[in-house]
Amino acid sequence: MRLKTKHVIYCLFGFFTLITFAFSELKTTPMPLVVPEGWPKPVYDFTKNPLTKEGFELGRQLFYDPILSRDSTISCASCHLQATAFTHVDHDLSHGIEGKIGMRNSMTIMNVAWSKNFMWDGGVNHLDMQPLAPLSSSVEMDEKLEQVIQKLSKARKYRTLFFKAFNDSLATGQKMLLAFSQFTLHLNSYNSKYDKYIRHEAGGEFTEQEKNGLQLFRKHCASCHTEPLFTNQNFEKNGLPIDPTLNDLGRFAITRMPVDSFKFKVPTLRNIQFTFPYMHDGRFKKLREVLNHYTETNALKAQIVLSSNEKADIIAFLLTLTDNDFLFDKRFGFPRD
Amino acid sequence: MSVNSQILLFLLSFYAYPAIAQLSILPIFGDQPIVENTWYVSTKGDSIQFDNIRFYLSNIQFEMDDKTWIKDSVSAHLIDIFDPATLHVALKKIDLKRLKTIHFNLGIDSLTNVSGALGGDLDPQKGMYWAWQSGYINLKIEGRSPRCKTRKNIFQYHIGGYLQPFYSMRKVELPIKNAVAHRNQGAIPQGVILAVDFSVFFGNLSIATQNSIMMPGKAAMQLADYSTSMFSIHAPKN
Repeated sequence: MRLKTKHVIYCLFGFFTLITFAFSELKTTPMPLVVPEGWPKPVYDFTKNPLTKEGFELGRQLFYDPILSRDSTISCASCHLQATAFTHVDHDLSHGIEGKIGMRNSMTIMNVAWSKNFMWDGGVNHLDMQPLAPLSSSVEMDEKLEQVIQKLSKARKYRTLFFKAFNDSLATGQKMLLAFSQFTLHLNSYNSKYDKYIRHEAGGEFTEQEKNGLQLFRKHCASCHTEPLFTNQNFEKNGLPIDPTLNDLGRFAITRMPVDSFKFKVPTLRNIQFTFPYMHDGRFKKLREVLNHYTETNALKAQIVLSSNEKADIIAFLLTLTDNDFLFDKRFGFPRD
Repeated sequence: MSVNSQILLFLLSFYAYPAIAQLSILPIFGDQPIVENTWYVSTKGDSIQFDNIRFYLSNIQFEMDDKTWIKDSVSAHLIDIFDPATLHVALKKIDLKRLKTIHFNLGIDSLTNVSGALGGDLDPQKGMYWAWQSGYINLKIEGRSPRCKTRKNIFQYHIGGYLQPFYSMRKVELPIKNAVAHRNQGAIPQGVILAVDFSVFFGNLSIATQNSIMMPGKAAMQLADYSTSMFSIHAPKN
């Protein structure tokens, strides 16, 4: 009888230990966003997706993994390379699965916490939803979200990563998308020579030419490419003649309003030295060509007049937007474990 | 009787006890229930077969006879008419006799549409989300008709859009008076039966010309208007 009581006590003890384990949660490590001094408040709502080291790591693994594409050939990094501010350098139009060519120049991924919408036409309304577009595009990854979730659920590596990030090894669309945001929200560029100049820091000493370039930039360009993000986040008509091989009407495709025809998102100019070719269809290879376009008579409502020297000064200033800390930050690179 | 079977019976008694009322969705075409691989004839004389019908019911609320409101605790339910598990929505314990009106949205409201990655029935992996232009698909109807001169005679209606002027969510409000109070009679669960008659939708449509509507716009708005009149509170025959 005594033995039996002992057994019961042991059993109860074991039972409660198990219960305790069942309710214990793996602790995640907070990894909050750094908001640079003087910047506006981020648009992204972090209360719904608190940033953690584990979430960031899961997002990073996903970003570099071709498992996302139908035939496991294309990852996000295929068109978004860190060394060029996460765009597809030297490709006017980006190519995806089976070498298929898309319709637009891939955009950079920088400072996305401050973006109200995404894509050249603003078709994506929230950062969390952005990965769905390349994932399902027939010329990019050509895969279904349901399939990706199945593939991730089968992979031991991802079951572990999902568990660490969300305390649940089961992959879902929601969790995958939140993890992507956790990674991309940290891809922030705010340590260029220009930023140091603004903050009066060492390494931010502008030459006379750069100073003059900034003056001219503020006068002629900043109404659209507004500091510190270097975009006003609006959709604008920039006077480019339509490319008849693409017939891309831009924002009109989303709103169906004639007033939005030929309007495209104003892109950031940060790290512009490495993000060539320029414009939504990558039609200009050099910054000089871009400036030449904007100083033509019919490009903009109010024509910009710049001398050749002034253009050189503006370009000198634009090169101060290069941020090597960002372009070579090991945390953002291919995960080599 | 062994202890095991006693425990089993005990658990079963919980399962069988109708603690909560249900909103049951009854998909019909005229007076026939909708099942797979079956031909239906519309009032316009079109032969129609369905492969996929899915839609969101959101923000379900009941107005009671004392003017109080009871709100569903789940914001949105994805109804798949070929998945019986989705045809019964559990409701809070409510006095069915006092129900006056049911209010719900067909589709997803604009605020939810701009709220980022959501879970449960709103997880984009459910296949009711557009990638190239963010937003939920409120109602998906896919099937075949010899009237459609398309590949495999397919028709596809994906109705969505949350931005004005093409905001395609629709509010539906139906009186429940005298139509409820079917308490556990045979196979009918206790609760409210919401009939969805797709013959109403196809009675408005000329499927020979309108057979592929897959994006927000005027056409989707028109179909959204047609879709609200499909709903009625079903009074079971005695």
